[in-house]
Amino acid sequence: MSLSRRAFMKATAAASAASAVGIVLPASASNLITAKDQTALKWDKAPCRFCGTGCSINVATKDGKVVATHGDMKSPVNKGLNCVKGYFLSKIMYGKDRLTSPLLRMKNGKFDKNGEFAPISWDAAFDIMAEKAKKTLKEKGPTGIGMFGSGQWTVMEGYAAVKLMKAGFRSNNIDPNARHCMASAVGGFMRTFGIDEPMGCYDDFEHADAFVLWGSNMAEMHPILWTRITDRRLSAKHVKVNVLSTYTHRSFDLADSGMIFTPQTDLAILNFIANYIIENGHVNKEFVTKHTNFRLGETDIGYGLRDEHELQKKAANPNSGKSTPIDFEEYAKFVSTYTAESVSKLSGVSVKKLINLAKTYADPKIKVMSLWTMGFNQHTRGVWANNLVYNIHLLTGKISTPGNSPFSLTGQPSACGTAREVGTFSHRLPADLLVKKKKHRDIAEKIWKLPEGTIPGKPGFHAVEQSRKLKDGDLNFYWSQCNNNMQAGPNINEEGLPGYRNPDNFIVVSDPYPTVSAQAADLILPTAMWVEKEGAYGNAERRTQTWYQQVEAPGLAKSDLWQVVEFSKRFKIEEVWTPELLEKMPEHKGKTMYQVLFENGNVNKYSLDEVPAERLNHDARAVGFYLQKGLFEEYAAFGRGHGHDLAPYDRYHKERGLRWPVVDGKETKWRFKEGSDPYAKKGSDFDFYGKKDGKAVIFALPYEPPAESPDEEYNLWLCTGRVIEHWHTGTMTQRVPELFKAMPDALVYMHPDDAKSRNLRRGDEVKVISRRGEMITRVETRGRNKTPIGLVFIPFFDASRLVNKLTLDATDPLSKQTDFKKCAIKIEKV
Amino acid sequence: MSEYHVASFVAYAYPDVQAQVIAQFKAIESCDVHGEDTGGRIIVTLESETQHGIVDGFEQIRSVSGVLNVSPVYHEYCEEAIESPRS
Repeated sequence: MSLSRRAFMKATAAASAASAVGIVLPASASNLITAKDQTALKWDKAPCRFCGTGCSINVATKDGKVVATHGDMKSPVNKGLNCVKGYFLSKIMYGKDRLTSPLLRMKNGKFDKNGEFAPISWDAAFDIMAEKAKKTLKEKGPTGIGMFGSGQWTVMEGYAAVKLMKAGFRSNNIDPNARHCMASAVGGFMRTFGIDEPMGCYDDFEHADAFVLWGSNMAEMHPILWTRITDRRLSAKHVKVNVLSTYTHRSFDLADSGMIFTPQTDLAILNFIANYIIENGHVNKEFVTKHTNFRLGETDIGYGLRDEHELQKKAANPNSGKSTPIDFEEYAKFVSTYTAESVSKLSGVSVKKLINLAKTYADPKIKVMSLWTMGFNQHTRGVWANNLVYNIHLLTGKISTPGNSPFSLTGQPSACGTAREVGTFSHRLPADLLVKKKKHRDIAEKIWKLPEGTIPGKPGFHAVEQSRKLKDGDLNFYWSQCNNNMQAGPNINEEGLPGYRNPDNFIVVSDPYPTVSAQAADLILPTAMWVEKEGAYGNAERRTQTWYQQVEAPGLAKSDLWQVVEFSKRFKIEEVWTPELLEKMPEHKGKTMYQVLFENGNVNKYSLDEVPAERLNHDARAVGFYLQKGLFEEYAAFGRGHGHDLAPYDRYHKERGLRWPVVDGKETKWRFKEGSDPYAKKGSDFDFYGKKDGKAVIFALPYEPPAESPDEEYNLWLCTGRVIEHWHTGTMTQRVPELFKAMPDALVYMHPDDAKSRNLRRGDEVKVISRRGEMITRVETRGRNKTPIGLVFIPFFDASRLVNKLTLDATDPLSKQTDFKKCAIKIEKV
Repeated sequence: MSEYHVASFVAYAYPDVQAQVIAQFKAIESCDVHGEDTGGRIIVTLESETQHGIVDGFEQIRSVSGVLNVSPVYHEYCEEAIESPRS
């Protein structure tokens, strides 16, 4: 019997879902999936371009457009499943307001900072950019030039941008938006382990007996990983889920123990757990003796504000990451004041729940996975919070083995792969190298075939500092890609917009859509997105994935990679380097920056013959060689043999990603453990080889209060964050009308009692006021985010209601990552 | 020309409330239940004339009491005129 088309489609859909989770359906439906090729769709793989989970998606194109997506059954990450964001991937590129031409602010046919945006050619766009950059170079030198990048850059885009900035312009003023997202996690890894990124991997989900969420709403933000936890919880009855947060959210649905704590007191809870482990004799002494050191960190380190800020002046050791060695007894004494009773009083979590949580870590039979995202990272003690969670895993030896896993989740698709591994930070170079170390700069200069001394040794301006320097007029030529910082950045009234609109500055924003940032710029460059270009991403578990270009970008839109490479052609090397530097390699005289950086024998090593004939690859065809492969291979040279080994580029096109280090063709699931990590020395059992002595560090660090707490006037905590339908600032998802409709406005979620005491009702229009700004929104007392008394939550995706006019630009003094999770506000009826 | 959208999902519930959850799914007009296992996983599809209808349906099944999680798997739409059931 033949089925109607509708019935056929429905049966195919049901069969896909059933086979993804191994459920057998009645025979009538089960053999239909092969008939998919009848629909004339061309399917190919690509990693999802939304969050840091790194799902693989099957993408269907028809007549040059993406028309369908499907969770990739072959992916070890999402195993055929998808989430609601990924489900709409096929639509993100087709918003009605997609930018298709460079746009320059003009009056009377000429650039004018106060003019209206008008379309211009790419040639004209690069002309004005080069003119402004050269003017800045002449007046201010390299430090007048800056770039703001992203964890959404492909690996090659980030890498090319680092070369352009650090070797071409010789400016370290390049930083990614990952500074707002991951910097504290990086700081934590470097301080405790001496090497970045998680030791474990997603396989831990199927091995753990307990999960602890420390400030992460995985149910909404990492739905696929949450599905794996849900699956584990449902299929193994002994498994327990613990969720800690400052408000109740959807992850609490699955929680065996949900805990609401007063903002910032997570530090005290972590120290209490360490104290409990010690007092109850659950320290894994052999592990601790063989594999750890103890250190006492400096305290009272300020709040990463401007140096002249009152709170900075009050701090005893502003911005200090210093520490001194101590022994176990001194550490035990340090945490001994964090008793269940005192921490319960401080945090608001009951003694019983605190002890149960501590037992989860203390019991040697329970394999435990700790998970966190912005709750820890966007924290004025973010690095400390990361250090403290590693402490409890190290004290118990619950690390680097299946199911025992402190796991730092990421928010962006390539926060790890690009921002961190490529090192697009102002202080970094690829593979964890640092600009301030001469030896590290030497390595980079050698690989790049550049003269000694090309890369400046002083770290550049980090993200928040860039905004401050733009405002102060020290940074005058600024290029932002894959970002929407005028919406996502903190304190934008005082520290964001003034810099963009400063008449001394020329601001370029590359963007697929007219975002708040694009509209605040002087020049907008239309950008190709996702499968409109070839690229590679690296996810939270060290998995590197590549994809081919599958459709053409609309109009004049071009990839960020093409933009960076093309722009470098506009400069003679004499215009960016000093004569002394050029004298060290006179063979570069008369060349363009492009020739020096990208036609160096590495990047242009692979010919177009290696690009499959049927593939589009606009960027490679534009330069005449396999640009992405050349960049990737040159970049990989930094990490091979040094614990960051990547496989040959071509292999990634055949795999659903591989987790580095990839040694002898094999990926690594658990690092630092002998037998599973080829870098762990024989006989070591565990080898934390990021540190010279192979030992990880357990840090004694106290609870310290936040930069701003509610007082009599500003009497509520404000916490900001994401909701599932919108990803970060909503630039892409708000182009999908269905998603926009599902959650159109950012509401203020508050407790009914807080509303009542202010004479407010659900739906009332209110003014939310902080010491820095105000916004108008509506009250929501129901819904899936339930805040405790004293705290309100506002999502930050809504461009018409900018919550970051309210937030404080307090940062972690060590990581310089902003704390978007806590400041003091008041609410008035309009 | 009208559109026809179909999407499939895996829904998760605690096994002790699985039957009630399925009963509530069946009460949703555009929702069909195709299968389940004993561990709380349920295979459903949603149909609609618009993609927005699918999103509404998704929110509806996500909000059913006892549902822990819902994962979309497959989505397809066609623009052909509606065919008769027997072609």
